[in-house]
Amino acid sequence: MSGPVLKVEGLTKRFGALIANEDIDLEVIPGELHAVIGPNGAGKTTFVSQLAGELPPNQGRIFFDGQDITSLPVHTRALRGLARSYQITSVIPSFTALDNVALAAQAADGHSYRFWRPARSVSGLNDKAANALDEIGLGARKDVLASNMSHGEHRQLEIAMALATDPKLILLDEPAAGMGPAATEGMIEYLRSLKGRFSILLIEHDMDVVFSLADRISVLVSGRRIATDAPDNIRQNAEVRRAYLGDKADSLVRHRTDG
Amino acid sequence: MWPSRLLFGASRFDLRHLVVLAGLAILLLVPIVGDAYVMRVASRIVVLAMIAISLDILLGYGGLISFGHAMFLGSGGYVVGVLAFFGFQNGFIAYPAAIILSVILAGIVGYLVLRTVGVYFIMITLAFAQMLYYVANGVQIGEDYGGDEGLPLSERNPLFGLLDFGDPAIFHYFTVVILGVILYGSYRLVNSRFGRVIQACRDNERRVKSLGYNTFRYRLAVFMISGGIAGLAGALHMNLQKFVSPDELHWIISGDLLIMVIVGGANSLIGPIIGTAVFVLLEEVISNLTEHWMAIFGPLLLIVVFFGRQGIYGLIRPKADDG
Ligand SMILES: Nc1ncnc2c1ncn2[C@@H]1O[C@H](COP(=O)(O)OP(=O)(O)OP(=O)(O)O)[C@@H](O)[C@H]1O
Ligand SMILES: [Mg+2]
Repeated sequence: MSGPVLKVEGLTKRFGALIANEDIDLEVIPGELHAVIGPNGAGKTTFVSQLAGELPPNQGRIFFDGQDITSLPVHTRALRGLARSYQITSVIPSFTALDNVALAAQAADGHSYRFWRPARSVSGLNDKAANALDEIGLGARKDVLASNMSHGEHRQLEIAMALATDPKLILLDEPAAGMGPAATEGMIEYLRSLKGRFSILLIEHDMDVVFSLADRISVLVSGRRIATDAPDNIRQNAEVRRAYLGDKADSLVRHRTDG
Repeated sequence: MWPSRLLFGASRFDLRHLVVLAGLAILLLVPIVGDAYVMRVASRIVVLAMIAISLDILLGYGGLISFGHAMFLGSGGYVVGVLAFFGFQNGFIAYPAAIILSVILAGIVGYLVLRTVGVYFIMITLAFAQMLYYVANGVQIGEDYGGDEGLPLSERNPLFGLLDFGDPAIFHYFTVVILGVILYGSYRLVNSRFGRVIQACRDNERRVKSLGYNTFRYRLAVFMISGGIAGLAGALHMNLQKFVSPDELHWIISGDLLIMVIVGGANSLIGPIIGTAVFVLLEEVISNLTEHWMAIFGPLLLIVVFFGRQGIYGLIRPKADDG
């Protein structure tokens, strides 16, 4: 009975003469982890920003949970259950990790026009935030100011915040960007643990990450979606290999023979 | 039990507590030991400290640098003056009216200015305050009042004769109590759920939006709250001086208020009070020595800003404290 959680039709975004997204159709099925890959400048972040509402599309429609959200503002989409994490870390630097996540939990909880009771004494929000941090491995760092955390910790905090808003769909824009190999491994395991609990649209550069996690993969090249398929089929898709993978195609083949 | 605990929780007794308690003691003792002049200066500090706190709620907590906050000193004062002109002297009418109209003014101005950020926000708040400055200059009330003459207040707004405001000491104590209420209320406000959203907007508005907050509405609300507090301060200022004039709205006053907040320590509630006291005292002392007192105050300001962005309060505040 349930249709796609996200349905994009003919999404087009131009920056002057540059066509960053061209007539993109895409669907995310409830519970799936749908990865979007593509070379630098393919238009992945532009795509996500339109879904989240930060960039208005030139053409096309976006349906979330069956409803047209194309012209809704960012915060309304978020309240309906569309969460995002940013490719470039975006947290509240002067807040502790716990307060960052509690802020996110508070958004979903509502009741933010309360002026008297200290926010830090609301145990419901604190507990939820502490759980989210525990789960992602930042439990021991919850009282550290975000401005004093490392890049890798910021990446984790970013995702804990997105999850604390009780989303139906999470848009993750390169969650492991700039992380070392060990931390990336941890992030992959964490994302795997989210599979099935949320619908996820994952933007990622790292092929290992994508091919080991995704249920389906869409490939974006020069603003156009050239394929959407299961990982194994994407590996063998001639157009994908020619247009996007190019020199990386070898590594893909190797990857396949390994697995 | 130290009253300063209301502000700093159960933290250990440190310099902050000492400063707050000493300041309170001085304010309470002034009517007993000081002459009329000293008391006037003290009351002026108390009243201006209220508006400095209200400005810091915007600036230090909300990240909104308003260069037009004197408009509320004017709105509160003029509401009192106009009501008195038409025969409404009762403080139970005048003070609430000053607050309500200032909140409405803040709502209108905020609705228009909060669409801008950064330098544009600074400039457009300045522009609005200057516009009101010219309005106050231009509007004549009756034959002898208003315009650049300003408005007088024949006697301080009585509160049903509960307190005799003819006695400056009683008026002084009244303002100290109001300052205490504003201070404590602001402390609750900035630490509340609402305050959390406001402070998050200061750091990263885009992120706060993407979590599901309509940041414009929160900012408008805080602008109105700040305007209401400032309007009350304006009404008390008018009562203290028994006079209001367009000068109260001038951009130089808005600038002075910013200096008080920044010198004292933005993003704290005690800081603006300290800043106001330092500013008013220096103004009184140095301006007696030389007309160009800003030439001395300017370098002092630079020193404070150099020694840390936290202002004077930053020097006495324990490290890693965000209360
Ligand atoms: N605000 C903007 N104004 C003008 N051009 C833009 C803007 N944002 C993105 N672009 C351009 O649009 C194209 C797509 O950018 P986008 O950031 O979406 O790519 P991406 O696939 O996320 O790349 P990366 O893998 O490097 O993150 C690029 O050529 C970029 O320079
Ligand atoms: Mg990108």
